[in-house]
Amino acid sequence: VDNGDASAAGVDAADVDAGDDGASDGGVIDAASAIPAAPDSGSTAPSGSPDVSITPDGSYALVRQDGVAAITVIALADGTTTTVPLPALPTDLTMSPSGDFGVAVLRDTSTVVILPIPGIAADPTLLRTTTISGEIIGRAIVTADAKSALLFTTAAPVAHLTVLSLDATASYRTIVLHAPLLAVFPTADSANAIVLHNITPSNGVEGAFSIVPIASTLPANIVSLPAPPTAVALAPLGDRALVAMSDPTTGTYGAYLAKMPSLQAVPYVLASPPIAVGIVSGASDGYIAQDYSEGRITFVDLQSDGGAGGARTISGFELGARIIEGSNP
Amino acid sequence: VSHSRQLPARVLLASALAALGSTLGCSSRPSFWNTAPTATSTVALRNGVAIVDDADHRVLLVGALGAAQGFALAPSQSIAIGHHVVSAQASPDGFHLFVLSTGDWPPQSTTDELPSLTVIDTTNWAPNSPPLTPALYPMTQPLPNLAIDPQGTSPSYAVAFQGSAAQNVLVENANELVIFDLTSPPADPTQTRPNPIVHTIQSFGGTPQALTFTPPLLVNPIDPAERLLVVETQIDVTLFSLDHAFDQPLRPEVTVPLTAGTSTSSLTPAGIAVDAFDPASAADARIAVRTTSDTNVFTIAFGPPDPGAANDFKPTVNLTDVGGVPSDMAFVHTDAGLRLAALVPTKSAAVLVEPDTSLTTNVMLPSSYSNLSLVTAQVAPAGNAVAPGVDVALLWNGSSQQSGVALWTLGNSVGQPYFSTQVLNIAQAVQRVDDVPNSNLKVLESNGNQFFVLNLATTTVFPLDTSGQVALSIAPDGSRIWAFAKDGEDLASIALADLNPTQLLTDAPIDAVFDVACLGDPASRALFALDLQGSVGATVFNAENPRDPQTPPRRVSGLLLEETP
Repeated sequence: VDNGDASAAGVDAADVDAGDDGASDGGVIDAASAIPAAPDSGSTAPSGSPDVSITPDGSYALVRQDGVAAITVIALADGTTTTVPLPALPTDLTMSPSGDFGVAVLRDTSTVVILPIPGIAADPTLLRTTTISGEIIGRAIVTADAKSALLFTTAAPVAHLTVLSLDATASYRTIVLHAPLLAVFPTADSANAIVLHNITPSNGVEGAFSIVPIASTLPANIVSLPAPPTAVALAPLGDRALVAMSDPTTGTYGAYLAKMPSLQAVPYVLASPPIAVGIVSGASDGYIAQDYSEGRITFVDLQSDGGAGGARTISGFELGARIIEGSNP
Repeated sequence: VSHSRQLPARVLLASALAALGSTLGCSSRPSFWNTAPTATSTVALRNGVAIVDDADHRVLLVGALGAAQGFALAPSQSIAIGHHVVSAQASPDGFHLFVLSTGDWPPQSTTDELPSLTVIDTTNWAPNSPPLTPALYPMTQPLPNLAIDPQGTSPSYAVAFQGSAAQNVLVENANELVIFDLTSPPADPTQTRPNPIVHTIQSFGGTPQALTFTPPLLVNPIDPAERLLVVETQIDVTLFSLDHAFDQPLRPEVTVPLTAGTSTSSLTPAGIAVDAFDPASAADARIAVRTTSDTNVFTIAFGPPDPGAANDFKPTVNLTDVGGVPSDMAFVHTDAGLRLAALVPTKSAAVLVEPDTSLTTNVMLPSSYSNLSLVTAQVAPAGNAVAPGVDVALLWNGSSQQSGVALWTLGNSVGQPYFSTQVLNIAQAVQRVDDVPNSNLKVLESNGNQFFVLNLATTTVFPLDTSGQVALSIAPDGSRIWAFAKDGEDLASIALADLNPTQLLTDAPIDAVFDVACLGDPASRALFALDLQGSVGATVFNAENPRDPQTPPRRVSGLLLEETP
C-alpha cells in the first residue's frame, strides 16, 4: 500500500477546517519553547498551537504561531533560532517537498512569502514576497515538483484557486471554480488537483468536488455529490484519485473515481459508510474501507469505466481467512 | 406375461420347496421363499413403474403396451438388487433407477452381501427385450442416503452419505462420502481407478446434511469450467471438485466456514443457490448460502488458487445483511444486472443483492412470501412485456390465505422496485408449485379443497375444486393432471388443454398413480393406478383417453407374484 491513504495524502485537519486557514499541517516536535516573543510589527499575543514544518533532512524547523507576525527558523542541530519578521500575520506555513524553501501566507495582505532554506536562517531579509492582487488567500500548498504553489482560502466563501509559479517570474493565474473551497489535493504529477467544496446543501446536492487542471488552462470539472465528501486518496502517478462520500442520515454512501487527464468521474455506490480510502498502485486498484460489522472493503479497478466488474466488495474477512483446503484426517 | 399363470407357478414351486425343506431341513432354502412379496416402494420411470420388493431382493419393472395392444401389461422385468434397500430413486430423465442397499450388515458369513448401489438403465427396455442387466457398484460400508446428479440427460455422479439418518451400526464416520462415477463401470479398490471411491471430507465438527451438484462453473478463467459438489454440514459448506473426484492422489476439498470461530455460536446452512447462467463466464461462477438463523447471505465467488494449492480455484466469501432471515433465494437477472434475490418474510420484502458490491435494493412485497420460483421461460414466450435478459419470478407460500401468488418482474426491480409485482388473487395459500413440462402452466397446490392451474402466458388462474384432500400427479408429457384420493378409489384426469375433468373409478384403493410412455409405442401413454396391498395390483388406463370404449381400463393383480430372479 502506498501513501495514498487519505490521512497520509493530505486529508489532514487543516484541509477540512473551513473556519481557520491556519490550522496545523502537523508536526512532531514541541517548538513552543523555542518561539520568541512576538515582534513589534502588528503582532498580538501568541495563541493556539504552533504550526511547525520540518525539512525532510531534519535540519531545520519553521514555526508559525497564531497572532505572531513572524516565522521562527530553528536549526535543529544546535537549537539556534532565527526570527523572520513578516509584514502581517501569517495564516499558513508550509514546506516545499525537498525542504529547500518554506511558504508563508499572509491573508490580510494577500501576500505569499517565500523563505529560502537554509539562507533565511542566516539572513532573515532573504525572503521574497508576492502579492496576489484582488484575491483572498489564506492557505498554500506546494506542488510535488515544487514549481507551483496553490493558494486559496477556506475561511471565506471564495471559489477561487490561484496557481503561483515559484520561479523567478512569480507569475500567477486564478482559476474560478463553482463553489467555495474546503480542501485542495494536488496530484503527484503536479498537473491537476482535486478540490473539495464547501457548499450549502440543496436539491439533493450535499457536497461537491472538482477535478482542476493546474498545469494547463483547461476548465475544471465539478461533480455534485449526494453526500458530503469525507476522504480523498491520490495515485502515485497522479492519474487517478478516489473521493469518498458519506451521509449516515440518508444512508447515502459512495465514492468517485476521478480520472486524469480526462477529468472523468466514475461513481460507485457503497453499501456501508466509508471510513478510509487508499490506492494500491501495484495492483492498479483503489480501496474503500467501510464501517460494517463483519468488516468490508470495496476494491475499485483504477482502469475501469464503471459498470459491472469495476468494483468488487469483500466482507467477512475472518471467514475468508478461515477457508481451508484439506482432506482426510 | 400372464399373471394368472405366474401365481400358481410360484405357489406350486414354493409349496414343493417347502415340502422338500421339511424333509431335508430348511438350511439351504433361499430366505426370500420365507417372506411374502411386499412392495417397499414404487418409483416412476419414463417408460414404466419400478416396484421395489425388498423382501425378495428384487425390483419389478412394469410397463404397458401401446394402444394397438389395448394397453395390456407388457412382460415385466424382475431384476435382482442388493439386500435391505434404503433408497430407490429415478434419474431426472426417468430412464435410470438407482437402488441403494445396506446389504447384510454387519456381515456374519461369506455369503452375506455387502452394501451396494444397483443402477438399472431402462433406456432400451422394449416389450420383447432380453432381461435388463443392472450395474452393481459394491460398497464397503452401509450408507442410508443417496444424492443423484440432476445435470444432463443421464446422471454422471451419485453420492451415498450418512446425512441425518439414524445410526444403525456401532461406529460410523458420518463425514464419509461414497462417490460413484456413473459413466464408468464398477472397479474395486485394488484397481488404478476405483469406482466408487470413499472420501472423508474434512470436518470442523459438522457432518454432511445435504449435497448439491452444480452445473459447470468457470471457477478459474484459465481452466475449463468445473463441476462442484457442495456439501452442507450443520456449521459450514464444503466444496469438492467432481471433475477431479477420481484423481489419484485424491484432491482435497475446500471448507468455507460460516462463523468466525470467536464464539460458541454457529450457523447452519438452510439452502444454497448457484449462479451458473453462463458456464463460459467467470462472473457467473457463484454460490450463495443462506442459514437458518442469520440475516446475512453468504456469497461465494471464485478466483485463481494460491500457489501450491491442490485445487484449480480459491473461493472468497462475502456477507450481506438482508435485514431478516431469508426463506428462499435465487440468482436472477434484473434491469441492473445479476442479483441475488432473497425473500425476507419478516419484512414482507425481497432484497436484491449486487454480488460484487454487496449493494442491496429492498423491494416491498404485497405479502410475506416465503418461496420463489423462476418462471422466465414460461412467461417470456408470450411476450408479456418481459425485457430480454431479465427474469420473472413467481412468489408463493404467503403468510395469509389471501396472499395468493405474485409475479415479480425483475426487469424494473432495481429502477422501479415499487412497480415490479403483480398479485394473482387466490383464495388459498399456495403450499407447493408444480411444473408442467412443455407448457406455460404451473399447478398450484394448497392445503384446502382446491388446486389451481396458473397460465403464466395470460396470467390467469383457474381454480379446481375437490371434494377433499387429493394427491396430484402431473403427466410428464404436460398434457394432463391426475388427481386421486390416497387410499380411495376415485380418480380424475384433468386435460390441461381445456381443464375438463374426467371422473374415473378403480376397483382397489389407490396408493400412487404413474403416467408412463408405453413400451414399443412411446407416443401412447398409460396410467398405472397402483394398489400396494398384498402382492400389488394395478388398474391400467389409456392415459390420453381413459374412457375410450376401445381401450377399457385393465385390472391386474398379483404383480409381485412374478418369478424371482
